[in-house]
Amino acid sequence: MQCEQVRQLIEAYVDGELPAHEMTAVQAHLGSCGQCAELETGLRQMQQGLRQHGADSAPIHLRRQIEKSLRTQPVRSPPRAIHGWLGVAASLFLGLLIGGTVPGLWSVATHDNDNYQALVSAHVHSLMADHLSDVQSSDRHTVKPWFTGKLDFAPPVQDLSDHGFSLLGGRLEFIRERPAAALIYKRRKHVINLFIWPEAGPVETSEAQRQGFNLIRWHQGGLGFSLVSDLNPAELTTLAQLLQAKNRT
Amino acid sequence: MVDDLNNEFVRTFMPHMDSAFALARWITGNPQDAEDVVQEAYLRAFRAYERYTDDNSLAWLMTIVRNTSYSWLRRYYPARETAVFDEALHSDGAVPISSTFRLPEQQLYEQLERSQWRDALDKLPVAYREVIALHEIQGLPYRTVADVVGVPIGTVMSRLSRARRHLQQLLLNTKSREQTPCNANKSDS
Repeated sequence: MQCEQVRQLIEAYVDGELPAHEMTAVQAHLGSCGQCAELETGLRQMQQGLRQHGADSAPIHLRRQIEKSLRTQPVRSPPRAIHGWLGVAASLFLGLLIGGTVPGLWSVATHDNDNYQALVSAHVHSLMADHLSDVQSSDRHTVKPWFTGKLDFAPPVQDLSDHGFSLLGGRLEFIRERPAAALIYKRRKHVINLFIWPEAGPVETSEAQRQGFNLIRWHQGGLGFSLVSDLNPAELTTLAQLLQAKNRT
Repeated sequence: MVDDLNNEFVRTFMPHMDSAFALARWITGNPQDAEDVVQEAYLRAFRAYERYTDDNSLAWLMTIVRNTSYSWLRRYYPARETAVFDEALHSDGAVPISSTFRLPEQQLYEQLERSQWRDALDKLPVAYREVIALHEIQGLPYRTVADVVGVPIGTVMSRLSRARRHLQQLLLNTKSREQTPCNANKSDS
């Protein structure tokens, strides 16, 4: 085999993609041709360098997040369909155990459905240009007092920048005709709306998905909280937990 | 039964996490976007799992990661060039490399640092970068790369060849800049 032919095949040779007889022929040539052998060495060294320096390990937290979000995926089969409503179902069941009279499952479910729909609509609407904040600030001492006089309750505003959630600002919202505070957080490229309004309810979080968005709801200190975002459920849960912890103090 | 589905998916696809992350990182250009892309890709894969009949789980997942990466780029970086360059301009069968593939300097590659390799990779056009990532870094054979990228094997071979030459040029530029730090570099790519 001549140098010119070998040079045409050398990459496929190094990649182990040549049929056996060509492999042998190239190999034989390389044994006696210094220049071609140098080409082979160069290719292999480049490959080695790429494998060594180009490879990336997935961060450990990513692995955990994915496993967790796979587990919270709503599944199509009927018995699992209520998984996302577990918070509602559990509190109803508890209610039945304790009280006896409790609003019927369907009426409560419909109520929640309407609320979830309204929250997602508000979230989507806020993503449109110029609709995100009424008060634009990452300082909670600016955002919190802004709501005074506009709402008859004081929404707690937390700074979570140390945890990778930055505050973008606040906005006045109406969720099903009820005035609410909207606080806007950001995590990497994901916008998160936190809706807050006065409401009594269970402290347990309940999760749902609507139109590709993830929602988490809970109650604390006489207020209802709802997170809406396309951020994955695992990280959204982290945010919910951080907020719950901070709002306790 | 649902748990079984879940466990089977996890067992099959979680081992490919590093490969998925590497591909996403090299297509999107940064590890933060890669994390988001990988999450989305795994969810997509899970939802499409019913339709998975392949015997090559890595290739199947890589196709989803690749598609998710490009969707991500189009959505968040619409100004960035992601379309594949016109292959017709460079079309041929086996690419003769004798004239254009330079012989490497003595121990060029061993002297380069990690940051220099990665900077050079970042400078490659994305169509070159992805075949380098799939073939050189992840070690996938031509056939699998062709399936993931969606082009004939011949195209993979010629694209890989050009990618290597382009990369070598970038690495040589890095090295010569190092040796003559006082030289003003007129072109930076």
